[in-house]
Amino acid sequence: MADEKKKLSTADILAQARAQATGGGDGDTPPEAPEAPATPETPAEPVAPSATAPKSTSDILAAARAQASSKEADKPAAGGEKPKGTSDILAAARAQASGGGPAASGGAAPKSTSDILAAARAQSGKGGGSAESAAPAGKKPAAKAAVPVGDLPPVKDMVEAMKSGKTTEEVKSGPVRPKIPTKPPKSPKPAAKAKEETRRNFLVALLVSPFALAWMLLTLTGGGFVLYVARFMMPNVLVEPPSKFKIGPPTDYGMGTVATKWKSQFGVWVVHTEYNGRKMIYALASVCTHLGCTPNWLGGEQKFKCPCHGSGFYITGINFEGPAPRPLERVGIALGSDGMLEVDKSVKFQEELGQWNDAASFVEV
Amino acid sequence: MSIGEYIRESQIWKSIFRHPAPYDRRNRIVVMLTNFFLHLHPVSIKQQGIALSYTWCMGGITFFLFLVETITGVLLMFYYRPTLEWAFRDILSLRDVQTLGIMREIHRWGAHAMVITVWLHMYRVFLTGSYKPPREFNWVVGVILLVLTLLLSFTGYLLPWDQLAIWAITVGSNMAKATPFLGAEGPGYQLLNVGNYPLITPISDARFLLLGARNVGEETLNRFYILHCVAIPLVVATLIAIHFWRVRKDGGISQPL
Repeated sequence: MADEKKKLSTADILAQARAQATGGGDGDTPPEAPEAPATPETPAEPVAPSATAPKSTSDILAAARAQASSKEADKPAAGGEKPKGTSDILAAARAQASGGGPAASGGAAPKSTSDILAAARAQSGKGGGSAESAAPAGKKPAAKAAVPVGDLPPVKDMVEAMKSGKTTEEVKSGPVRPKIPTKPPKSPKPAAKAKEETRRNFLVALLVSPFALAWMLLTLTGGGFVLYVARFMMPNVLVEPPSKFKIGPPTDYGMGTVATKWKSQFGVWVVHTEYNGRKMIYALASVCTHLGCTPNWLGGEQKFKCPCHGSGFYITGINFEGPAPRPLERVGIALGSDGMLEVDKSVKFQEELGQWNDAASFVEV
Repeated sequence: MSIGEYIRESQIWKSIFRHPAPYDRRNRIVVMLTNFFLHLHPVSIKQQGIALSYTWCMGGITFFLFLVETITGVLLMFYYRPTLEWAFRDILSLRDVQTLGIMREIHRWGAHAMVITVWLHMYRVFLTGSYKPPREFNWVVGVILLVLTLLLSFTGYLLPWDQLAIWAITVGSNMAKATPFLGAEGPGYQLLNVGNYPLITPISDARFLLLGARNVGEETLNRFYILHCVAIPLVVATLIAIHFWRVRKDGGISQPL
């Protein structure tokens, strides 16, 4: 916020600048002015746009701050007008421009804002001034403080000059520091070598520089990590009931029955029935072939019935109703050397593929 | 001075709230831009931007429900254990033992509502043509958010570990088995063989990756718990931030370009 003695608020500064710009040195008395208006500053405020259009906001602010700090917050006497808006200033500048004719466009009245500002800059920057390194200086905003931009002298110079009350011309002739002789225009080749990208620079940046090395390492590490994560997400150890298990002797299973006692633990029914003229024992996986639910054996109706969507299967496992597309799957079953039946869930036999003829899918009794 | 003034003038207050409450345009800008939470919003929006008959406010309501789900979800995590032994019982106890017994209900109803509002939001965006250039990218982000919302619902559905949950996930994950190329019982998985070595088998296909086992079991419960509570919400939060940012940058809510 404003320190009444030394600094002004932004509104004050802009008001002062506007007053300066329009009054040619006569200024308004801003509302918060603690001092009585002093004698008006001479129009030759260095770089202050008293006779020309305001150049840019930062210029105006710099000019006003320098002015205020050097005069101990004295205010230039005002013309008593209200602070003007930007459009007013530009209108005044246009009037001036058409009257005074800044020579940038050869005297034609500039109409647009950018024309006016460019004209003003061209006019004040006509003296040449310090060396201009055009392209590089233009690229770097940080260089603005120390390197002239376009036709203007360095901002720092201008600020100092304003403090000491010099004119624009005096600044440009380099009072604060020795005048830097104008450099000959740089040949394109050296400029390119210093600042622009060549094929050589590109390849160096890509392959040789430390940045390249670092980025390559990062990319490779990152890619490797992604692959590792994908493998990581697949467990190597599965806790499951064993796929091979014994279910007792064949005599435990009567003819025409479906044993459900292994269903909850191992997920199989053991069926002893006649299929294709042969008496056999086989094991059916208790997984519905529709979407994977667990059907139930309905002894009264002599069918497997899935509670999810109503698929129905005969005792042989053949589907006959509901949405099941194919019969239940058999799993491997064999008669062990100890006379016990052994079921192997790691192999399956599908009827529709003709695999029920495989001897490993049933035990003939 | 009054107690309010005394507090507002104190050093502690000023250290927390650097600027006074907005009293003019410039100060409002300063307050908004220097506040961590508030600067995510634009300083001001056009009045027509919040016209309910135009926007339906469904995007905002969806975001609100997402926050509700996050908060109730975190609270549920204090009393839920994702194991075969405890999952179902903990859900019951959330209803029977915990205070009021409605935290799980809020979470569940909020999830249903969020899916509905997401669809309504998508519908509104379509009706108002707010997907047209330059907003195409934001539409795509929104579609990804829709898929992630549905995935959140899918993973969360398993956590009560009841019959409904187990079979729904069984059926749903069986679809992954039939995926082209990535499913062990789908078409084209042989194309991914490395020489003679099969890359896609029942223990290495998309379904296995999703379930963490050959069938829905304890590993699946744990996997879905982490996906539901951590992994997917992180991605969703990031995409929501991008989604809101793009709305602002593309001209503001319900604004012409």
